[in-house]
Order: sequence, then C-alpha cells, then structure tokens
Amino acid sequence: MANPSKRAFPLAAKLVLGMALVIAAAGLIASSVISGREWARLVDAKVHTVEQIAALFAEFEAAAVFFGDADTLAADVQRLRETDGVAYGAVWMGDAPTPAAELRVTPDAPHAPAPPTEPSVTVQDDLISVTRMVRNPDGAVIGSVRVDVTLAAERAAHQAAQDAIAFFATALGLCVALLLWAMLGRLVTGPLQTLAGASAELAEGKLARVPVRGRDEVARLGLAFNEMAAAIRERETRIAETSTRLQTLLDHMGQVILLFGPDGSVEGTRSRQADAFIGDTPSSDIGPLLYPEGSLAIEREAFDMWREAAFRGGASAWEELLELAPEELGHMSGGREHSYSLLFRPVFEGERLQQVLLIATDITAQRELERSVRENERVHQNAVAAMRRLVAGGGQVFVRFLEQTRTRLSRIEQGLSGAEVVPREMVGDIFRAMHTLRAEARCFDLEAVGRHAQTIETRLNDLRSAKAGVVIPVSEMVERIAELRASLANAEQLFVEQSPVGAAILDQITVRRGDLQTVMTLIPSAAPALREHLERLAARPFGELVFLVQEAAPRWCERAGVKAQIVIEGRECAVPASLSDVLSGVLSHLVRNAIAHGVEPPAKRLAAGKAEQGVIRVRCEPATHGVRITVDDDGGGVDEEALRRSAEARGLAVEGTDLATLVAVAGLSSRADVDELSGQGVGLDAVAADLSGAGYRLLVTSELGRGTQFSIIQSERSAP
Amino acid sequence: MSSKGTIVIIDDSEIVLEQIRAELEPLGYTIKTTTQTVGTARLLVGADLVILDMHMPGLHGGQVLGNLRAAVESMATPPLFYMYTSDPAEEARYREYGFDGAFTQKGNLGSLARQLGAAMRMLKLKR
Repeated sequence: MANPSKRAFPLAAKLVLGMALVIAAAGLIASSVISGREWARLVDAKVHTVEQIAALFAEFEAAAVFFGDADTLAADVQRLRETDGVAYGAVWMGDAPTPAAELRVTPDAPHAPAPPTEPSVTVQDDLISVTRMVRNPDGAVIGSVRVDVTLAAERAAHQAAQDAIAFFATALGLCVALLLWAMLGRLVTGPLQTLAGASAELAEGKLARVPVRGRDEVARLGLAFNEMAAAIRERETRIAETSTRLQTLLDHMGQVILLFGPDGSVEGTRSRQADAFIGDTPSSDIGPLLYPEGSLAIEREAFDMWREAAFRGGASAWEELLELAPEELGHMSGGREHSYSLLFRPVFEGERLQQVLLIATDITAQRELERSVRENERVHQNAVAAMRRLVAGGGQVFVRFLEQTRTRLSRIEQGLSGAEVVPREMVGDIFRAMHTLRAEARCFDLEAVGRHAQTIETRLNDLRSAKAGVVIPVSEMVERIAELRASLANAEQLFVEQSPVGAAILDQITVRRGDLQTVMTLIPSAAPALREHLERLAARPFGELVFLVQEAAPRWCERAGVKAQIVIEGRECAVPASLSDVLSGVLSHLVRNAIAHGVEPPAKRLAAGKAEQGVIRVRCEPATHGVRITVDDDGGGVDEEALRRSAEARGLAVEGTDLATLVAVAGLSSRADVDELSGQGVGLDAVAADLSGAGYRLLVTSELGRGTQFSIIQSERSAP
Repeated sequence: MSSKGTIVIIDDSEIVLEQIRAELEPLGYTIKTTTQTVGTARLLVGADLVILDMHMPGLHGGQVLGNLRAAVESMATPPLFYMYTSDPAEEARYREYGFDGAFTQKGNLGSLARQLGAAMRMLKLKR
C-alpha cells in the first residue's frame, strides 16, 4: 500500500500531462505525415517543371549547337539564372567532354561534369538534376544540356511550415490540457479533494459533510459519503449514549475497574471508583496500587509473580493461571480497611495477552456482616451448649441463679425507688451485686448478662472514683437494670427451649425415684390423696420421655428417604411413673413406624398434592384418667383390606378383629420386602404388651390417603 | 469441594487454633492443628504448609523449626514452613531462623487468610 504521507503527484496533473503529450504527439505525427506527402508532391511538381525547362532549353539551343555558336550558347546559359532555384546549367556540343557553356549559380555546383549520354532525372539532397539530348531537325543527337535546380528554398519553406504545425499542435495540446485541468479540477479532482478532506475530518471525529452538485458519478460518491458519515455519526451517537449509560451503570455498581499491561502499568480506568481508588497514589503500577507500602508484602509478591506468569503464558495458559489469581484484597481507605473481591478479565491480541481488566468490588459490608453473623452464631452456640450442659445436670443450679439474680435486682430497684439519683450509700452494694452477677454469668457462658453487669459495674466505678457532685440518675440505673433483666429473660427462654420438658424445668426439683417408691409403700392405702400427690411426684415430664425420639427422628427419616417434621406438644405434661417406664420405647416404635409406613416419599407426596415434607405430631395431654398420648401422621394411611389379605395369606386369623389388633398381630406392612425400620410385624404387639403392663392400651384409626393416628389411653380396668 | 491445600498449624493456644480453623476451613483448606511439638511429624505427611507460632511457652519457633525440618527431610515434597508473628522485627528475620516465609499481624484472622492464600498461590505458581 502506498504511503499516504508522501506527497502524491496530483491525479489531474497526471491526466493533463498525459493528455498534452498525446495531443502534441498526435499533432506532430500528423504534421509529419502530411508535410512528407506535400513535400513529395512539391518535389514531383518541381521535377516536372525542371524537365520542361531542360526540354525547352535543349530545343532552344539546338540551332546554336548545330552551328557551333559558343557565344550564343554562353549568353543563353546565363539566361537560366532568371529561373528561380537554378543552381547549375550546361550545354555540350556533340560528345565533347566539357560543356560548351555553363552556368554555376551556387559554389557547390558541379565542376566539368561528364556530358550526359541520355535524358535523365535525378533528385538527390534537395537537388533536381535533369539532362536532355539536343537533336537536329532530323532527330540526330548533336549535343546535350543539363539543368540543376536546388530545392533549398522549398526545403526552408517546408521546414518553416512544419515548425509552425508543431508549434500549433503543442499549443493546442497545452490549451486542451489547461482546459482539461480546469474541468477535471472542477468536476473530479476538486470534489475528490474535498471528499478526502472530509474523510480526514470524519476520521478525527469531526462532523463532516461535502457539498454535492449534479448527478454524475462524483456527485453520487459525495452523496454516498454524506450518507455514510450520517450513519457513522448516528452510530457514534448511539455508542456514546450506550457508553454513557454503561459508565453510569459502572459508576453505580461501585466497582473499581481498571486496565493494566504486561509491565504492570495501569493503562486506563473505567469507573469513577477506579479514579477514587487510585487517588493521589504516586505510582501508576498495579502492584503498589493494590498493595501499597504497609500492606502485606507476601500478597504483593504473589500478585507480581502471578501477573508475570499470566502475561508470559498468554491465551493458552490463562484459564489455569486465573485460578491462581488473588480473589480478595484488603485495602486501607479513609483510615479503615476495605475488602474487595477481585475479578480478572483478559484482553487478548491473538495468542498474546495484551491487557488485563481488573474488576474490584467493595464487599466490606458483606464481610463485616458475615463476621458479625459468625460471631453471633458462636455466642449463640456457646449459650446453647451451656444450656444443654445445665439441662443435662438437672438445670436447678441455673434456675436458682435466675431466682437469686432477680431477687438481687428487685432489692436494688426497691432501694432506688423514690430517689432522684443513685444514693452514695447504695453504690457499694450495687457494685458488689454486679460483680458477683458478672462472675456467675461467666460460669454459665451468659455473655450478654455479663456484659450488662460489667457496664453497670464500670459506671459505678466511675462514680466512686469521681469528685463530689457527680451523680448517676436513678432513671439511668433503672434502664440499665431493665436491660439486664431482658438479657436474663433471653437466657431463661433459651434454657427453656433447650429443655426437653420446656418451662416445667423452671418448676422442677430432683427426687430419687427409689425414695419415692419407699415412701409409697409406707403410706397406707387409706390415704389416697397423699398417694396421688406422691404419684405426681414420681411422674416424669412428657418432654423428657420424648426427647431422644425427637433427636433420632431426623436420622430415621434420612435413612427411610422421607422428609418429615416431628412436632412435640405437651412437654410439661406429667406422665405417670408406670407409663413413663415404657413410654420412651413405645414412642420410639410408633414414630419409626410412622416414618417407615406412614409418611410417603417426597415424590409420592407431591404427586398426591401434599407438601413434600410430612408431619408427625406427638402429643401428650391430661385425660380424665392419667394421660392421653397420640402419634399421628399425615401419610398414606393403612390399607386395611390389603393388610387383612396379607395376614390371611400368612395364615393368621384376623377375621373380625379391630384395626389396632390387626396391626398388632400382623404388623403395619403389607409389603413383601422388609427393611430395618419397618420391622417384621412383631413390634406393635410388643408395644401393646408393654402398654398393657403399664395399664394402658393402644388405639389405631386410619384414613387411606390422609394418615394414621395411634392413641395411648388408660385401660378401663386400671382406671379407678 | 476439593481442598485448597493441607495446612498444619502449631500454636500453644487451643483457642487460637480453633479460631484459625473456624476462619480457614470454610475457605476450603484442610486444617490440622496441634498444641504439641512432640510427635508432630506424622501431621506433616501430605501437608503443603506449616504455620508455626514463634512464641510457645519455653520454646522458640526457630528451635522447633529445626526439629520439624529434620522430620520432613526424607519427604519427596516437604511442606513450606511459615513463621506466624505480630513482631515486625522478628518477621524481618524469618530467613535467618530458617523459615520459608512469614505471616504477620498475628491475631488478625482475615489478614491470615489473605496471606495464606498468597503463599499457596505462589507455591502453585512455582510448581
């Protein structure tokens, strides 16, 4: 491709010069051909004239030759001088070797030429030489003549004419060329130059438009250019608008976006945040920018190593190396550390990695939230663990702590009532109470309670060490005690939630069962009221008996491939001692049965229009006699007919039996396969037997497709 | 999730070890911790990097490092040993003690996670 920076020979000049040369050459060739022809015609005419002169001269001189009159011949030869162009004339008598008379007009005329022997015409070097024989009246040759006529004058005239033609041809060529130049300039090269200028302006991003005249090809080119320029302008406007929108979007996204090259230099920013991120940093190198002085040297070292490897590796190694790029950055800004997540995007040129686009998103708030959540979770877990330890130990120490603390707080509140400011004489008592409370709270991992107690302690300490006149308003102290009470209530709530017996744990004492049995045997049967109270003392909270079942149920569900929620109701309900001995095993069996045979697998439940997760509700409530316990599920229910057929096929006599007896005898499964959970049909009869021994019995109701309910109620014969 | 690497942390405080574990395990590292310096060699098998507390009661990190280096001498790819300290003067002398690198700002778990990430990336880049 030609180098446009070199000065080009203008197109018009090329055309004009070419045209001028062609015209001039054509003129010259034409004039040459024409003049050549004219010259030949001229020579022919001249030859003819010279022949006539020579003939007349020979005829005229015949008498003088015949008579040998040399004087007449000499005089007549001189008369040839009157004829234009005669260069030489001569007359020979007989065959004399020298002319009898001769005329020499030009110096180069021949000297003593040989006498002609026959008539001849020669044309040589612009000289026509004609000889003729002189004859007597009888026709006999008696002498000869020669006339030479030069064409020098004709040649000069001819040359002048030729020069004139050449001149006019050149002049015509020049005129045509100039005219052509002017026309080309106006019609072609001028518009093309304007177009070139407009294109250059367009390339520089300026608005460019060319004037269009006429409808010829150049005009059409101009129109096409204007349309193209308009399209480019429109596109550029759209691009600029898109770019502005994108920039606004990028600015609002709050991301630092910048480009860096192979040597680590920052080659451009793409967001407002990037400019802010760079700020007044003196270095334009990405390494020091991300990891300035004072940050972790190892991170910068790792980043520089990665950058070098990435640019060296090119496109083929990018994906692999991207995994080794830093994912997060800690960056000090405004006196606090910000966390950024880092994304790197490559800009390739062929195989070569040309630039890397860095997108850094400020995730400080997210990280702080995560840390806060983790910390809260840790505190909560500590509290839960502490509560479980307390529960496992009976929890009564903690209950006593709660009671004592509340008593202490009430005492303080009473002491403060009616006062405006905390009385100086109470400061020591309150301080000691808070100090004790803080230590006790630490024993129970009650961080919030300890923190509130310490706040009051610190405040009182300020008061103790302050000068006279400094006071603490009672309202402030009351408010702080209220906060302390609230955190105590939270701890109590957590304690109750973790207790298998719920709120009952707050009202429970530890009694040895053996002691109770001994007392009951010592009480005479005539004291039923006292016996009833003793039996209530021996009773166990339902929550305590169902606790293990609730803990194990998720594992059973997982193993059975079902999803079920276990809902426990009536945790505080007191279960008589006789039933409590067997109830854990019974409930375990019933809940396992509900999971294995009741609740359907999720896909089956969804197909039946039920929630994916089933519900197994275990409930205990006081009854007229003892308690009533139910285990019901929202599963598929018992297919009684299928169960009867299955039992009969196994040779069992089940005709006329109720459903409870049927499931106790035949088991719940009508399936041929037997797994770990479903058992082999020998579980429920054992359950019935256990319950019977405790004075209770099992009832079963079921609705196909809706669920099954097992009820444990006191047997009629054991009811008083 | 595949492990980002196996890290052994040696510190005399159980609480510090648990905090570090809680910070690093969610990031994908396999963490092994110990408060002992005796019998630690078995933990080092398959480890990529060992973080060693510089100040354990009655022990100096540099001395402990010597013993650990001897224990991993026969390994095909022995782990890297990094000092963990909050003392900049001590950090500057990590090579003198024989460590491969130093993690600073002890106690700042976010910082430790970033430093460990950088060290593991460098280790993989070198490999």
